[in-house]
Amino acid sequence: MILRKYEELMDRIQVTDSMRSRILNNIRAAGPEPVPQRPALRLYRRALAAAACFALLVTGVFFFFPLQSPPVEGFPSPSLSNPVGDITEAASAEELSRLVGFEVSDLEGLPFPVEEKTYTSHWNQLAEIQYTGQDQTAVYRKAPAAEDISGRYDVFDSTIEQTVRHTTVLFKGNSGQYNLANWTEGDYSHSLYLSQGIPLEDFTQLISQLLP
Amino acid sequence: MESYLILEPLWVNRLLDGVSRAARALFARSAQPEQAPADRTDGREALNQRAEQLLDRYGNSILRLAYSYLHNMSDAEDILQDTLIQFLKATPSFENSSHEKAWLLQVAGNLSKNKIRYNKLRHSDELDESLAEEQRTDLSFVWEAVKALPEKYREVVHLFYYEGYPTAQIAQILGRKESTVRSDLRRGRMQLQQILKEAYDFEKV
Repeated sequence: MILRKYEELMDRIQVTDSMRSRILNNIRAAGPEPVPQRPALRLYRRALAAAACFALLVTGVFFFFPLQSPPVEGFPSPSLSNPVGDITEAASAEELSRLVGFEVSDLEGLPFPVEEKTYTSHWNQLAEIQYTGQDQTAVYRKAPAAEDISGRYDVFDSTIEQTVRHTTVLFKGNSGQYNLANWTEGDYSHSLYLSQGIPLEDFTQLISQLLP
Repeated sequence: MESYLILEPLWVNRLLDGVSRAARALFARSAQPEQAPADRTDGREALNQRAEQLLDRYGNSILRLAYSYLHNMSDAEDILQDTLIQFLKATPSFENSSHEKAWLLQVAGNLSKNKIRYNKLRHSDELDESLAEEQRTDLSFVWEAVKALPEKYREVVHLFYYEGYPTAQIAQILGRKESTVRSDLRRGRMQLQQILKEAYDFEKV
């Protein structure tokens, strides 16, 4: 009975014609530019291998006549200008820092090889860097001091507070493996989420590298 | 690795530099062919059409999920718009349309939760107002009870009972363990029951 009523409630919430027009107009006006599909890393590796073979064949040419075309500096992520200015992707930690108005630095020493980084500003208040590896990810967030900025709502079996370099860090995880760390340092809160948990000792070590 | 490269003779560094440039140039050419202006227009039109399709197909579901978090139409509309933009930006590929919908709901849920954390929400509740106007106290009572649930229970209850997702898929959408979803569902139901203080049976509906 309650569910029928809940269904009845939810059925009242609908995309109206005016809402539909507003959204489509906003997307048309300021939505994302059409971008080519993000190239797969495998393609990059293949291209790299092919280029390496090619380069070995013409070493002399490369040595005496370096390529004249300007080098492509990385592969910038498509930037998105959001019509409501809420979420903006940046190309680097520096650009992200400019968007949010405080310094955000890349993390070092993550427990997996990073293949891709995504820099995102949420409402110009929260900085997020997502590191993607072969089969795992890490999400680092920084924002003006708040309770928990991780955005993770998982229920963890184990929560433990540890002092790392004079800073209190709250670690959360399951079965001896820890996925989430939250800490506040000065005026800013930080969180680091690892999709694959690691032992507390390793996580503590990782966080200690991030603290001054 | 870096120090190793620094110790290499100059010609090796130049060779490596050349290899790197060639790889980058090759990759850039193969991965990002230059788009003619007409192609760009076509691409933009294709994106607009895709946005329209997504909005027509999943707009209500996304809006309802966002409303279940935010309790006002303007913020829910913002989330719907942002979710579509995220989709168009990421251009994810899916095996079927149910995966597509699950992806959209996952993004909408995360955006809603972020909005709760970092934005001042508008305080109007259009649903509440319309129920009051129509004097539907029965529905108002249920809506207030659902709103009073903790967020983690409310989202599970919505996805399970309204969207009809099995707990395994809810676990994927919310990034939780299935056992956690089951336990949240059970606790959410118990809490609803407690709030409403009346007999009901979810399973029969």
